[in-house]
Amino acid sequence: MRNTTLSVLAALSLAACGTPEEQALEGTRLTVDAQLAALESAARALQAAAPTPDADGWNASADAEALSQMKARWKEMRAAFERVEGAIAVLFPDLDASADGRYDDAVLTSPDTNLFDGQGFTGIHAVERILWSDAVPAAVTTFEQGLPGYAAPRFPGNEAEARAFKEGLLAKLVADCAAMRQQFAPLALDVGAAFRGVVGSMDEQAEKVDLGATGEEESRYARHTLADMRANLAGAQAFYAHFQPWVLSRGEQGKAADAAVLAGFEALSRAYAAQPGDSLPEVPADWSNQAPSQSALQTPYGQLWSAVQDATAVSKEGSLARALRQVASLLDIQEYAQ
Amino acid sequence: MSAHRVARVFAALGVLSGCGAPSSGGTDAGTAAFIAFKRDFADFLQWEPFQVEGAADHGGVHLAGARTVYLKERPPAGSAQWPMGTLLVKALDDRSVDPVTGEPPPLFAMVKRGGDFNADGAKGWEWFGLVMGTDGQPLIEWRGLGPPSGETYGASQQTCNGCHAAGGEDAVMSVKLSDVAR
Repeated sequence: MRNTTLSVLAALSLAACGTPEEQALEGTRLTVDAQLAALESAARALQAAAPTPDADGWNASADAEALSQMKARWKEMRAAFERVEGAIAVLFPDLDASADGRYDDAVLTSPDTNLFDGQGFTGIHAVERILWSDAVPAAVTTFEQGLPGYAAPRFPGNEAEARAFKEGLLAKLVADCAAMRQQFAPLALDVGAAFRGVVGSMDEQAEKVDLGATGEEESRYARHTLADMRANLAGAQAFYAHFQPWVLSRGEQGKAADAAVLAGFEALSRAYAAQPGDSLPEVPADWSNQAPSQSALQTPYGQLWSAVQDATAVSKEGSLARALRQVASLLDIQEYAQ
Repeated sequence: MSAHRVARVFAALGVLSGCGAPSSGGTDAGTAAFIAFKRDFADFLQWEPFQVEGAADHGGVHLAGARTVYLKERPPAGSAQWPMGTLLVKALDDRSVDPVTGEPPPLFAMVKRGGDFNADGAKGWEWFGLVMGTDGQPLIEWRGLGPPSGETYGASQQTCNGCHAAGGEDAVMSVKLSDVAR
């Protein structure tokens, strides 16, 4: 009942916002704001769940409950962030790098000598690398061992490291999430920036599935990248829903364009639903992004990769990406028009 | 649901603040950042022009040829740094399309975003690549700490920060702050 009431209120509030374009802008803003609030809240909860520093750092047995709580909060952070990253990463490139950067990028110029402080490699994947340090996939270890200045991930081993994790690395993550929310709140998005929420969320999925073949995948330690992609898709659908009334206001062309977009979302949703769990399927040993073999394309990873390619290739007739460009043309959103 | 709860929900949804549309454009006074959007570059050809002296291309091939930098608003007199919200666009004077690619020449912009943005480069400045839209107004092609992968500063391998971080007055190389802030 409560959810129904809130949904009605939300619909009423948007209906009061004037033109379909204004509704799209306001709906996008509210969606981003809500997810950034959820992101910050989960970050604070993760920090609160971190074990109180003691002499032996963390112990996987004694701190099992705290670890479980931190991992759950981490997954909540991923769900919130990946729903809106496509919209906001380009607006906050510094905070995006600090909060969502990868280990391979962070150590490119200098090694991260202290895994637990708020310097060097920071953000949600730095936290992930520590929380899942006792279960890193072999392919990821192989990839990262080839990086300059590689340091094996591990739990905090003493009081100082446990304190640095809670008051350094996690404090930095909370501060970055709060800064993103504070800086976004007063912005008056324009229609190009708002529609980027849809397009950017689709681009995120294409990148993630490709990097899965190299050990560079995004949530590589927690094996959570497919869950990230599902959140990207949910984000794209949520953002598009704010534009849908505007699209439908454009007569038969609008109805046709909307139908193509919804069909694209549905096809990709089915492909994701067909894969179990949160991780990308195992990548075939002979996989090539440039020229995958027919046998490789028949594997679960190959099928997932094909579904994402079919959806995100702008050059492909009938793709979701092409349908979104048609929508952009119809609405004269020149940044993304064909 | 109590009346207070309903009021809070409506407030959160923006109903109580006129759909919640921020009135501050791209400026966030609370956290000292100016985040530019397409509208901020509108009609830049009407801004104050500064002809770039000489046609040197800074060692690469970006924007080779006569070019003009357009400044949206002069800083207050006596400014020692460009103020947050400063916008500059650099354009070739010859706007004709490339006969090979059919593309118009690129436009580049720098915006003083403020705060600690780009702290490791030209502090406070955000870089932009612009393209002209069909309505004659510029669109944002890319933005951030530098060009995205696959894009370059013109055709050169220079980075924006590579030249600007140590160049000019507060990173602006083609317009002298001391000349315009008086």
